[in-house]
Amino acid sequence: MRGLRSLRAHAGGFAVLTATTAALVAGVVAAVTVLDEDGGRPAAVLPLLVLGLVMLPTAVVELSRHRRDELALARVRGAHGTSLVAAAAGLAVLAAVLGGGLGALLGTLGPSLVVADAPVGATGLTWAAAVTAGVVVLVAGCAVLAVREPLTRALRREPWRPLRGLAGGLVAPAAAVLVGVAALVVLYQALTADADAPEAGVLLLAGSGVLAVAAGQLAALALRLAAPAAEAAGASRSVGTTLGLRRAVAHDRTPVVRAVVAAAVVAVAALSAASAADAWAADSTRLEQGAPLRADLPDAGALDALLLTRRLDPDGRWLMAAAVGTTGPAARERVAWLDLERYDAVAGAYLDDTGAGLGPLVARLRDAPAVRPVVGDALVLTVGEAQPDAGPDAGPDATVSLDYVDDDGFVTTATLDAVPGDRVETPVAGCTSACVVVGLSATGRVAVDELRLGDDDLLAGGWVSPDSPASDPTSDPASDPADGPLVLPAGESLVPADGAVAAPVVTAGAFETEDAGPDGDDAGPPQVTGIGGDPRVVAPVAERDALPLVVGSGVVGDLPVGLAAARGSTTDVAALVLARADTPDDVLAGLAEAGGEVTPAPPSVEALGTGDAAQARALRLVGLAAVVLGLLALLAGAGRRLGAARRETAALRLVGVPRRERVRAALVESVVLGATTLVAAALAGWLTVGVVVDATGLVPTGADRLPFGTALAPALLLAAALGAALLVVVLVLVAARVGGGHRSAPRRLLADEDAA
Amino acid sequence: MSAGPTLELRGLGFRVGSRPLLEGIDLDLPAGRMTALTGSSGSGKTTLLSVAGGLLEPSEGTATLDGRPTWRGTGDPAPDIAFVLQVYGLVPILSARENVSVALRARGVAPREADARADAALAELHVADLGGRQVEELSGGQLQRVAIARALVVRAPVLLADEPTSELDPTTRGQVMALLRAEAERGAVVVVATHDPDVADACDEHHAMAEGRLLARGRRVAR
Repeated sequence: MRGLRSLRAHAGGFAVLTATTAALVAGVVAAVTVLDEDGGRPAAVLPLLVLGLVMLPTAVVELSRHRRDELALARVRGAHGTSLVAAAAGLAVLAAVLGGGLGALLGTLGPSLVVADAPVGATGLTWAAAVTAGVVVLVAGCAVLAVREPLTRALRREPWRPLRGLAGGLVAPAAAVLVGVAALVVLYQALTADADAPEAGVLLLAGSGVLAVAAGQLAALALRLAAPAAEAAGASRSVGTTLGLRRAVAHDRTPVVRAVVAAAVVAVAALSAASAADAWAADSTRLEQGAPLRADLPDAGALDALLLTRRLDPDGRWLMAAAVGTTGPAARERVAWLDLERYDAVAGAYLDDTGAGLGPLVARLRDAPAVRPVVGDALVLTVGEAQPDAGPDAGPDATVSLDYVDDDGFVTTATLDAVPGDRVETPVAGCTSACVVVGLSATGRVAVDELRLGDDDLLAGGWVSPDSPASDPTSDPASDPADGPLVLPAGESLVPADGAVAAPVVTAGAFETEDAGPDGDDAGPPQVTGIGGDPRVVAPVAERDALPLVVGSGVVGDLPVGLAAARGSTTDVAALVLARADTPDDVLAGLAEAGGEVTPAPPSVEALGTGDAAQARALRLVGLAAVVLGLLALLAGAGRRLGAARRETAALRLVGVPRRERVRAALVESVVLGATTLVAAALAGWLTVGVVVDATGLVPTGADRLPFGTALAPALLLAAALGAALLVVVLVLVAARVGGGHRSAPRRLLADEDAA
Repeated sequence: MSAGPTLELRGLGFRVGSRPLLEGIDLDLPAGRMTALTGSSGSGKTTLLSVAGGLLEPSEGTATLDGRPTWRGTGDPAPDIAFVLQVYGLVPILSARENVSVALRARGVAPREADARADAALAELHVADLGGRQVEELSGGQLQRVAIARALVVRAPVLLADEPTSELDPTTRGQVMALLRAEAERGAVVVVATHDPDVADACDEHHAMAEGRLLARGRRVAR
């Protein structure tokens, strides 16, 4: 019965302690449940547990403060030893047990509301029991320590100093030193962490919590150290300024600042990490996909894809051809060729946010000779008179063959008889929309004066032997239009000389250092595997952390440039067409007819894998729980704070301090506490996210994946720091209004022996 | 004794709901005199001081100082009324000196002068050495002396003191009464609510109260 009366009398403090325990246990259980289902690492909840170590004593102390008179009376009645411990800790333990049960329920059922198939697992309940047991021990200890004061002091209602006994007096400084040392160790470990280590250590995983608590303590310490300065500063200023400064550094203000800062930092760290994982997954998906829609063309070559897009989308509004060659893990063996003329229209907006957008580089990447689709219905050939030194191969019966990829993507050959001195012509099929010449040969040595398909002069770009010049841009082409006719050796095929020029590319990963030469040395110009399987000389023009289609390691160049001198595609090259999301249905149908199955981008979460996705979800739950704990910490001290504010305001009104000075005091206090909270939360959040969280390796990445970095999200950090500061400011301003706006408020100060 | 204002209570009553705490109080509290209010606990002494000083709005009747109602509509006392509260009413975050000087600074006195006058007031009550201490560190008697110093230092025309000597030893009590006497002689209205017969005897007038009414009126007889 006495216990029930006590519970009713201290329902507020009891409820806050229960809610704090429930929030902690629920956060832990929910996160662990999510992690357990999908194979994530339970260590993600460590920062929350560290935060709980700070939040719970605050709530216990507030409850004990409420019960001070009750416990003093119990001591007067003779309670001591076990009975006193039971009296002191009973209510707190009951709150912890109730909170633990409630938290287990919320934490177990909560994930099933978010994730449809989340199980009610034994792991969550085990964690709930373990955390609740820890909380019970913690709150019991704090409750007992909190009432360790001389009975006479309690009976005289002298100012309460919780945890000031011998044990408490040692515990608090020791804990502060421990937190400080742990924070330094965490920072050291984070700064020296091995990026290739499979998993971070436990202390590092709990690091955001440790740094958060340390930041809260530093903020509180800064306020205490500022007390003499505040006293000196206030002595010569207005009453309001004096009061505001003194209030801001008063010892009972610091617990709120400490708790709110710690909660904000843990929330920022957890939410930043979750946000970074989501952003990484989204960016990875976009880069792997290349565009909102993608159609792989398993039966087509790169040139086929290029011509297909030209035919289906002549204006270049929706489709972009691409070819991806992957012959090995090295950057030079992972090459993506994109029809960059259409990049901005098709993929620019889709990829720009990833940081791997190519928009600014398109012009430079296209600044090289490229395959040039030609149109015509007749091939014209003029060969010169037989040369005196033509040798035994020369003869009047030679034929000249031109290989080209026709409108339908087939390599077709047009053949003419080479009649020295005559101009001969033959019809050409399949070149009415666009075709690409890929080879030229003759059965006997001839000197070609003219080779024209429709209106296009096929000698303009020059021709070279495929055996040497493609890999050596310094070698002379077989012909130079300015030097006279093209001499075709007997029986040897030539390819367009465009391929002899280095293709401008942008690289990602270890390209320059590992792939400088064909044998790993740096003797020659850099090369990649060309579309036709031959080495292709490239000229890197820029370097990125990641690129479309090859992501973390590889090379991207212009497809028409890459196609120059390439006779078809090797089987290692996958041809595909990328498309805008708003591509008309008839265009997509054309793709389908060509054998391309159009697929949208998969859900970005697939890029994370189930374990890492669970980790991100769990971190979000941890962040949410930290926010709730911060609010509860504010609430824990609010009742006492408002009561003190009421008495203080009444006292000030009694001595004639005018309202404007009381308002000024509230503003000064709110500015000092708000600014302290803001700066501490922002700095600690920045440090925690940028150093500690980044070092925990949240998402395991490989050499060919998008590098993962917990980049600081300024908006999130600012929102959390401002939110924390705003909460403190609101508490100050609400407290300032209490007792200031009601009639007869000062009367509360009078010990109304008559009216009682 | 110098001429000064008179605190006039006419038909004064105060109710909480339907329960009367004060009824039919007619009383003139003149300047230059010390008036004691006595009575058992719950008799209405503190409530009378509160209504007379403008902390509570009268349910009936008026309380005026020089013809002006002491109730100003907010519960804040007028600057010319000073209180010594039974529970001291000190600001915990301020030192003893600051608690005294803040009353002066609220009345426009410069901080440096306010501190000097606060130190002097604390010295008169023999607690000058406690000026730098936070009030949380002071004992009950020390708190009471700081509260008295705060009320005296502003030299208000009216001083209403609720049990100002309850925590004091006889010697200090005598010193405090001497200071209150000096206030009256300066021309202030001084009203003291007390259970202590010696304090009541030290006053010029003595009114006993019971159940919210004035019972009897007496005058101090020279000994």
